[in-house]
Amino acid sequence: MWLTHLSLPRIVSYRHVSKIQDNLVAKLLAYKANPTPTPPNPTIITAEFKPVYTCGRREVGKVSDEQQGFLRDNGRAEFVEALRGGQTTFHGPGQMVAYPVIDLKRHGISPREYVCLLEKAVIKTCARWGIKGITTENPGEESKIAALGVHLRRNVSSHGVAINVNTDLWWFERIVACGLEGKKTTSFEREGVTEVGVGDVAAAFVEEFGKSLGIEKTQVKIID
Amino acid sequence: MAARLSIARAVCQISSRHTCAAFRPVRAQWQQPFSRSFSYSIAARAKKYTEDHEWIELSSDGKTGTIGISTYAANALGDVVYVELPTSDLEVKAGDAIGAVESVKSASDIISPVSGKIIEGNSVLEEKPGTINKDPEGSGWIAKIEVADSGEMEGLMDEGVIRSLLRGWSR
Repeated sequence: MWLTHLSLPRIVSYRHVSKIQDNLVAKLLAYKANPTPTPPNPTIITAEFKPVYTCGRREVGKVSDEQQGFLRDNGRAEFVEALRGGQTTFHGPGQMVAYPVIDLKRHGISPREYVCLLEKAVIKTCARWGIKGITTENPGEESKIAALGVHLRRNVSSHGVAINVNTDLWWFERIVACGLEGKKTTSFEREGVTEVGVGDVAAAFVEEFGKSLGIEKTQVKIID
Repeated sequence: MAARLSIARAVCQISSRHTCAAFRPVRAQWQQPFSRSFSYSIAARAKKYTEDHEWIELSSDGKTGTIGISTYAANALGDVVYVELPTSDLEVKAGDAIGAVESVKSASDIISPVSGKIIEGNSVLEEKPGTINKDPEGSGWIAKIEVADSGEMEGLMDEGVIRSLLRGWSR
């Protein structure tokens, strides 16, 4: 089995990546509804977004116009309602976003195990640069270096993780990230790791993710 | 690892109950008058599962169905923190999403096993989403639906089938 890595090296809009993701999900769901001899490869999109605040599924329709206006900060950022789990977060330049689109059933894992697997892949990725990660009851923080939120439809995953490499952390200071009061956000850069780019972290994460799924072979497609 | 272990535990519980379910009706048929075993088999046929672990149980007149997620699915999700319920009068086709169940950091769509019109969502879950973990196939039901075509139930799976699939799925 191959893992396809769709790598978007440029800074792109959230909506652009959403479309690619929706398309992959639709293909996998169509395959599940009418299986053919060759299932679509498990795929992982990595990207770096233009500034965007996204809220989670339980906040859809509950973020007031005034709050949205504040988040948009005079057009410097977008605001999008996402159907993933988790609460409000920020994505932007300097942050590595990874969205795996896989059928959990094919890999024999439950939703809970999948969240756990993503957390572990984040921790292993951070460890490559000497950053020690832990998970807490609300996964992913003490100082939060990564955010996690997953959507599942018929066990097909979308959304995933975001790791701050050299994100401008000001964007997080304006919000209560993931509904966690008093938690600070950090990045590779803030932790003293400066010689690393978003692309390096993406490659490392994809490798760790593949390994934890038991897939050794990765095929990289660059979408410029 | 802990997650893996707890899944294994869940599967064990399900398989041991499966044994009970498989044997009881046989004994009932043998020991009891025909009319009783007949009513049992109607009841047993009326509850069906999708391969993604939603269940639907038809009312005795076959016109309305109650939809929920299976015990296995509730265990596999972990603690439910939020449930997005369908609104009344929503017309759905089999396979449409009618809401979502959110556990820690993941939101899973709930798929309607049949076509029809939503009568109500289980408002208890708005205040107490954890009811899904406590009693997923009872008071943790998600929605009631006016069933358009009870023939669609034929394409769904019986409890025994879903449990044998489970054994193949879990590692």
